[in-house]
Amino acid sequence: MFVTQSQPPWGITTFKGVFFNGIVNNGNGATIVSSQFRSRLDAANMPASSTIVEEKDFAPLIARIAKDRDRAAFIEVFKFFAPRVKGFLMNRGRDQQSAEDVLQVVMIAVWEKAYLYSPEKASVSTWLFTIARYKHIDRMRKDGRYKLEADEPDLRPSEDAGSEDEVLVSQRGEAVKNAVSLLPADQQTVIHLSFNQGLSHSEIAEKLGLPLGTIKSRIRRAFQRMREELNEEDLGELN
Amino acid sequence: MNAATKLKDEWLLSYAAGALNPGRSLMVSSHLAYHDDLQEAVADAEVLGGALLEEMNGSPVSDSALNQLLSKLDDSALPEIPAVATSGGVFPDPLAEFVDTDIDKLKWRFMGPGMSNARLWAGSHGERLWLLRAKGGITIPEHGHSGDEWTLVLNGSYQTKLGQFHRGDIEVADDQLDHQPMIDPGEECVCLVYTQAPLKFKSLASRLAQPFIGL
Repeated sequence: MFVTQSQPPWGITTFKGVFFNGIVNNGNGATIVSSQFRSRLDAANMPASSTIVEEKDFAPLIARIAKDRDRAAFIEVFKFFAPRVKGFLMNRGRDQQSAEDVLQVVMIAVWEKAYLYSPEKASVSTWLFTIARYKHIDRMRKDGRYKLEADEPDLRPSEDAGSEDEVLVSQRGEAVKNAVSLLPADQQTVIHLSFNQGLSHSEIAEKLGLPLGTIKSRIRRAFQRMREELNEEDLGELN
Repeated sequence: MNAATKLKDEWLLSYAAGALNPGRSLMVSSHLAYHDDLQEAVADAEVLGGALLEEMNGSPVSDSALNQLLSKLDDSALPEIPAVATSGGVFPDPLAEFVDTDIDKLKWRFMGPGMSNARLWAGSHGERLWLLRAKGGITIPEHGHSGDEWTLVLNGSYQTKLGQFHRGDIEVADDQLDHQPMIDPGEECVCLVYTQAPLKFKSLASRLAQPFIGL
């Protein structure tokens, strides 16, 4: 599915380099921005984009994996997500080998659990993210001393997850990133350290040389403001 | 007395980000099972996780890794309708999946009159995740904490000086708080407990028993 500029796409486009005030910098030169995001940036007098990249909607591929056991569809999903999932795992301190081991487990779960994916509830990237997170933590958990054999996780999105039916799942990724980009820099930093490096509150406190309580309230405020911003956008959609 | 009974937003966000240790993570996912509003908050944060995954600087994956993976895939058909989750009895689903056995089949250790515990997980810095089973009407010996203690009620209820805690509630105690939970009469109380560091019991008898309790 290709989208035009006037219709915010499924959520793949993002303004790299400005998001998180430059903390996240993908370094490959391509600046990618959605129209929705661009108008925000223009309003904020930020640098304009240089490239518009249009991306695929992965949901039909997951459906083909589930229904037809379609390996070509699986390979397409793999090509896009496998390097990202591996990057996610390496950011959390795994070496090449360990990251590839967990990546295999993640991708096998995609193949085996594709029928549990529901496009109304989450984008494919969000689904993949939750699988990668689960498998990463699960591997850590198995290193705990009182080892229990954990079964496959429940990969179905919760019935009550994703509060706003009126807003397309495809637009939520964009809206959420947008909301984060509007946060003060110190709040963006703690969100970044949580998501991109998987640091705990005390690890962030240590890294930034700040009291634990400050970090907790900063994350709390960031999250609350992000959600308020989202709810405003959702109301806008309804009007 | 109105104690907080739900985890605060900073924990939900860090859970969604995958930034909690396995013990805390299982604690949060079990807590979420009782609260739709918390699930919504986590779902919002997970959308951000997905968006960030998309823009992640990828790390190259070799073709041989793909081929190896393809050789492992099973082509047999998948069910069309998601299987209905089996009830884990007193355990919420995420915990039932982890424990993967009936509550009575766990290895319960004597902890004091009317009390027993089963250890589930231990972290490398003294963190413990364990289950507490206590008969209605008994009192847990007064103790303090060297770090956080989270207690999620899975069955029954109890009170401390902070308030009453029911099924699905989580009590967050830190190193400033000494408490002496009193199990409400009647139903057996089952709790999932995360302790960041060993408990500090007040009485000599409890301290002497501690090595055997293992917490």
